[in-house]
Amino acid sequence: MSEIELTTKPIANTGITHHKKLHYRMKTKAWKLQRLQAKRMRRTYARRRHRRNQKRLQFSIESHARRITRVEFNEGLNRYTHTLSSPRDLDLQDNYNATIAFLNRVRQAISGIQHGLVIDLKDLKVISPAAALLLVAELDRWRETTRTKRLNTVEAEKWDPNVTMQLHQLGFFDLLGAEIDTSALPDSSQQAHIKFLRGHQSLGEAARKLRMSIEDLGLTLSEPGALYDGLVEAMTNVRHHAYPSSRHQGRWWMSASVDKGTNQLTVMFLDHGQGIPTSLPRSRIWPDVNSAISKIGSLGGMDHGNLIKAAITAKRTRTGDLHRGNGLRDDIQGYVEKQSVNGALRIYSNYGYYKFTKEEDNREASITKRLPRHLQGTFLEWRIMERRQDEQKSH
Amino acid sequence: MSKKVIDIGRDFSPVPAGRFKEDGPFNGRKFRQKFLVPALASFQEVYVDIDRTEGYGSSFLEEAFGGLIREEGFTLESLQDRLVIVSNQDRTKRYKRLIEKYLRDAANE
Repeated sequence: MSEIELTTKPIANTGITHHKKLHYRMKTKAWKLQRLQAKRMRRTYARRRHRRNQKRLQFSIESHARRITRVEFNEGLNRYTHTLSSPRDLDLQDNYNATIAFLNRVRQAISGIQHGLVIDLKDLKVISPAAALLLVAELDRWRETTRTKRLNTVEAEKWDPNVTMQLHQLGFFDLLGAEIDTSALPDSSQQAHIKFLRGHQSLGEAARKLRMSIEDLGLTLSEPGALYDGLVEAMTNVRHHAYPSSRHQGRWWMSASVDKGTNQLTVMFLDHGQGIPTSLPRSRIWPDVNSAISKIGSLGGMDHGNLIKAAITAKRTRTGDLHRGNGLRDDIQGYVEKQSVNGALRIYSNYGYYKFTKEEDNREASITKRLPRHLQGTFLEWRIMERRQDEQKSH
Repeated sequence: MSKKVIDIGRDFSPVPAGRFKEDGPFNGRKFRQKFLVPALASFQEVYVDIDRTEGYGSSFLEEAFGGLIREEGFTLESLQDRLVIVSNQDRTKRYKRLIEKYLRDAANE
């Protein structure tokens, strides 16, 4: 009896009896052990589930990649390969659908086929500077993601000489580490291209290098400072908004081309991020964009083209955020607005397209539309009708 | 009256760009903290020459100059008295106007 009395005697200031406390300790140890075992099992199951899902995903990616390529015998390699053929024209303006479909297939094939993938460019006869940069960026991204893999050219001598020249000028073959015989290429095509530059920060030095390369082609820029401002602000935007959680943090590509006949300068800037329409709802300027969309008053509403336009035109009103998010309007569109010559800005992002034009007589106009295919990231293109250096001197 | 001259292109970088440290090596915050704030702390008048650079993105200018009021606690009136933006070229006049605008906007935020 006395033992029972002892075990049930309360411990001072706790209200717990000896008996209860003993039981509590034993239960705690067992419970801890059980909990640890359960946790280990949960981890094991989660790992297995993750591996299973990864395998399924990889299988589905590989199957899709095999479906979009065809197996054929490649004479250059002397073996069977998975081949992806390009359309005849790669051009964002005149053949957007087929161009983006091809570039999407390139990305899917690259991620699904580990060995023996051939991207056949023999059928390609026309490639716009914009499409060329998109293609080069796609391959550059692949090369960077999988450093152990090698890219190579096969039967490049069968490609269209103008296309080969254009890709050569853009740095396509340098990227592959391939050497081509440039003596057989045409001396000068209508367009001269500048080797693409890439980076992942706001690199003023890269913007300066691009400006100097343009001037080396014989053009005198009417607004070199505005070009610099537009480019570095595009880089800053990529850094801040394009890649919220990705190992490609801040990656961008840029290039330029000059039409020797018309003196039209085309400057291009690309990222593979989430795109302007996707990033907006999470951005600080979303309330302002929302009210700008209602002012645009289009039936399209949240159409991606309207979202891009709203991001540019929205007046910043939120207290504390007035100082952020002005680069798109002030510098990126600003490069065209500051021109005294004809200029245009085109933005392709996700399903949205936005075009802003300024004429020599200062008339300004903008249009938006929904794109038929999704473009991963944002592509900016400035087109300015510049004068050549010799014309500039005579003026 | 003590006076300090900062030439952005010569003393900082001819290619300034970006807002924060992670944006790039010659960002607006770095310029503000390394050059503007120490100069304003030690000298009565600070002259900032903006002529010898490629250009300026709005992020750089806003962070460097607007940040003086927003982050460092200077008042618009004191900066109008003590901070002089030097622009001797036509192409850089608009940057001067932008800096003045960013200072006003920061004071109104």
